[in-house]
Amino acid sequence: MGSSLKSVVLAIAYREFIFFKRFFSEYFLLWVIPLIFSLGIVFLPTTIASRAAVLRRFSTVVGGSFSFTELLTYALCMSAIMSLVIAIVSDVFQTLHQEYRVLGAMVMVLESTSVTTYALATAFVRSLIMGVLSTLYLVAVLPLINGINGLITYATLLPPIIISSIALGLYSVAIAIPLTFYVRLDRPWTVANTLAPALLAGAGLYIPIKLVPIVLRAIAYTAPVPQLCTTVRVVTLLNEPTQLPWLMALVVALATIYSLVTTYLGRFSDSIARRGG
Amino acid sequence: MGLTEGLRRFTHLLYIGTNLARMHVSSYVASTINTVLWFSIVFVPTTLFSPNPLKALHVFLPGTIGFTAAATGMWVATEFLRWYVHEGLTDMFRECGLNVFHYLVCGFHIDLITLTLVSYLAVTSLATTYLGVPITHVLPTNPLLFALAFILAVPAYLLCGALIAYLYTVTPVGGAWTNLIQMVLIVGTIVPPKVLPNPELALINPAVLASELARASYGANFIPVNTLLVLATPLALTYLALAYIISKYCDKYIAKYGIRFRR
Repeated sequence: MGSSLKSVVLAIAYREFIFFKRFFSEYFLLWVIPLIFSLGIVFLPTTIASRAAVLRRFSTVVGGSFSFTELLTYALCMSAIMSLVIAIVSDVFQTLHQEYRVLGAMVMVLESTSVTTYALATAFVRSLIMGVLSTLYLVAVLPLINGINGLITYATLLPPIIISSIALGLYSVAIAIPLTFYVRLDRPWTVANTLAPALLAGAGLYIPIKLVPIVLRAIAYTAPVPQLCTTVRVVTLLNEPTQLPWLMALVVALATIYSLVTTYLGRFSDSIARRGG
Repeated sequence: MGLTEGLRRFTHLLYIGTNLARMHVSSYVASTINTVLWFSIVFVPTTLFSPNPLKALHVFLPGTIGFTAAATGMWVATEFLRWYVHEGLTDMFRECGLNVFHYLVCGFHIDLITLTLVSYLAVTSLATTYLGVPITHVLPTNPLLFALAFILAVPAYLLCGALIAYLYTVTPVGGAWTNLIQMVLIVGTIVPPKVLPNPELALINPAVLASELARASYGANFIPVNTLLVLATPLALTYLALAYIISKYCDKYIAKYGIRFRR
């Protein structure tokens, strides 16, 4: 069992790094597009009002008094949440579905391990790697804006990004398993591609979550995205790192629930998959 | 080809497109929801961080009319040359004398109504819940100009689609073209032409005509309405002619060298 798990983890990690090399252009877009979104959110309002007026308005909406550098840092860190949610939610879901329903690769996986082990290993390993790689551009961008403090911000945010990425991976497999093994979806991308923006829009991302309509907010609260948004706000704007352990404890608690759901559903999926669907 | 024959072929294409769309209803629903959600992620903070949120909504959101039309055209053309090549359907179209231009014409009515108009109305409605204003505040004050903007989104859809098809065919770069050109199309549409030294320069972007007319329907345009109305017909005809010519070149290239599936 131990060596089997190790092999699964190594295989998934190896594949993920190969994916990074092979689909580097996709990763590049994953860095650039959220960056453009974030810069747009900061600079578009300045095309119709002064920078000071926009800053005052931002301070009123978010609550506090902030400098333009803080606003920019905040927006760019939020873009990282966008990158990792797009990468993890869409990819973890679609890959599992493709492997079982389209490519038939699950047969090979089941020769060496179970659906539960494979799904949990995918959630942990792929999400961890994708979480770090999809937000890697912050290492270059944050110091450009805020010098050494930018690097400190990245270093402070990296552990929450890793923890939240794993939790998000577990969330994705917990949703992917029933939709992959229990039902037949003609167009799985419709779920995967809609879930990511629904989670982001529901979490408010750049604005406080209390401003978001309740339906969208309810969707976002099923995933650890609102906690990650609060973490970014705490680190970049409020400078209250004492809140971080509580926020991460909440994310870990959510991750535990997703793991239990995955384990439970995975057992049934295993027998379904071994029977040939 | 006479006018009657042309209209007959056009109607046939719309019929084919409508039936193709009926086979993909769930995709259209998902794409519309997707567009609304992404626009809400961008436009809600943008308007809330503006000192005058309603003015911001009138300036930025109509820009999406041209942008979404052009972007949809590009994705549809990519679909014709990527997934249809994968499924072997591109050759079936070509054997019937249909190229990417015809494929774009097939579905423009459904694409623009769902992904441009319905998405736009849904995002505006959603924005009113964030701003706490009645929906009447976000309706265009000049519906005729808005209707004209929507009609002029069609040439932008066709030209951008044809252009991306050509680039996709003749270069080894795949779908990345669509993402890259999409970013360029932001200037003048979502990013107002005001950022340029001369706002009229933005008209180089084929999607700007529709976006500026949509802005004008709210009285928030940066290029004078008279200029837009004078340029509307010649620009629309030029875009249509260019779209047709580029599609022909694209088809000639495929006939000579073939096309293989790539991402």
